[in-house]
Amino acid sequence: MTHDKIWEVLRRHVLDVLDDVRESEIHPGRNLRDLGANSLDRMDIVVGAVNELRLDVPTAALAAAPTLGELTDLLHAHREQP
Amino acid sequence: MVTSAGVLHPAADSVAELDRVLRRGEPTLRATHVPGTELVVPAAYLDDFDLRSWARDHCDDPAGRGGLRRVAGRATLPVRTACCVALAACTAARLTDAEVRDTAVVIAGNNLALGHQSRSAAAYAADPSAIRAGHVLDCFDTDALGAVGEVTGCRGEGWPIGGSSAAGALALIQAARMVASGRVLRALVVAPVNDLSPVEISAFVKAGAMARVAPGGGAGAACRPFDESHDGFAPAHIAAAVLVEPAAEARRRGVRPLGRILGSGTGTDGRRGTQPESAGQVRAIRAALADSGRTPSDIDYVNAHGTGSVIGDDSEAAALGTVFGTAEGAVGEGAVGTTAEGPCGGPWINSTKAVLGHGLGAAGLVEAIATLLQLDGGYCHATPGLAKPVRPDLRFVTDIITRTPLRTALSNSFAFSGISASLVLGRAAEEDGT
Repeated sequence: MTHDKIWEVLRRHVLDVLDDVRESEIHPGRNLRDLGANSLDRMDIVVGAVNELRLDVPTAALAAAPTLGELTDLLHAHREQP
Repeated sequence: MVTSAGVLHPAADSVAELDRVLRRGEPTLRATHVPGTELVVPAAYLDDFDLRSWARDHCDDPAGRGGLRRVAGRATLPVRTACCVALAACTAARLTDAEVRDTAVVIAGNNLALGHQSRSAAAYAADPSAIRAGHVLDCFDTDALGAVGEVTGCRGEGWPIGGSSAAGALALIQAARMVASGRVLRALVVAPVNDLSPVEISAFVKAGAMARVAPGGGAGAACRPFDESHDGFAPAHIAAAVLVEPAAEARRRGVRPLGRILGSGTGTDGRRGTQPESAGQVRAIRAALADSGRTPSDIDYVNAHGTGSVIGDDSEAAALGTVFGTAEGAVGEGAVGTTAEGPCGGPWINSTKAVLGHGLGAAGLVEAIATLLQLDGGYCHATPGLAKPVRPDLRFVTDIITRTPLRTALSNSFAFSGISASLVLGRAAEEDGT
């Protein structure tokens, strides 16, 4: 599972939950709060991506990754090793 | 005093537009297909309501536009529309930041997002894992309270007031009482759009309460309040908001108010069910008159509840006949003034629902605004579809607008479960009232 693939999945969940956000607004430096996500939206986005990717990430760790780029890094670090 | 207002309806997205629509007096209903069924009902629905375009057209301040989008951009239709009309009413009242902070918020209506609920339940049934955490916000009516507070900055007392078809009136009564008692300095009353699902629509049709559009028939003629051939009500997406405060406050800020709440009366029938009782309606009307220190002969105009439902119209007509009819000595020269035309005396009576449709929880509030507009403008709008009134002894406005000086009006709202609510409203220049 590549870093790019994780980014794509995360990006898609952001667009899915925050359906009024333009694609151009989503880049690794943004954080979810800036995109207008409230606490429930952030949960839906992150849990949605984690579930789709079948990853096992501790919740506390998720809360600590503020930007989309950092979130992608975190998910990538928890991917299953082949 | 009702200082300012905001209104949203498919045919009118401002108070000025509402005034024009009422003066035109034509029905705004369209044939609306109910998804998943064969039913076509007359309805005035907001199709694809776009918060951003509303904000562009009605919100001059970029921070306000941004706030609206950020807070309510993805909320349910009731919450989005509530935020828009709330912002409009607050802006028109020209409140300072400090005054806004102290403003109480009263949200009118219950079971606001039934359409959204129904869609969520269907999605859950298809795939339980797709449920969103955000559902916990969307599924409760109180979402409107938080959203309105964040968009407007109001952070006084918060009162969600239900009441089905009478919620708008009950909320306005509650606000007037809070302000009159001095418990709050001012109150913003907001009635969000009621979003029914096909489940409720189908049940209303099956109950014989909702009108249908006949194949090949027109929607405009399908809802006929108080006409002998009336056949049911027509739902509408309406949101409304008003700011209520003491007359002196509006004067101090130099805002021209919409009008006054002179008194109110409300009660219940002590009985479960959908059946109205004229006796209970009469009690509420008389309580409102007593509260305002007025007699039936003081009332120039009645804005009826008038949904178009057979049982509802007949019951209200009987109640109006009892209160204002010649038999009970209620018709005086004062009521008729210079307007004595037609076969009977008593107040002019119309139904705003014949023009706008039935806003359910918002009906009582938008109709109070409509009543104040007519009092101020000296007209009673036409009641489209009313050709043969159910009673000959009541002075209905039929197909032509009536232009006449008006001083005092009565506005009725009735609901299932025996709820009756009446408001006596007056022009801004009157000496008493709130």
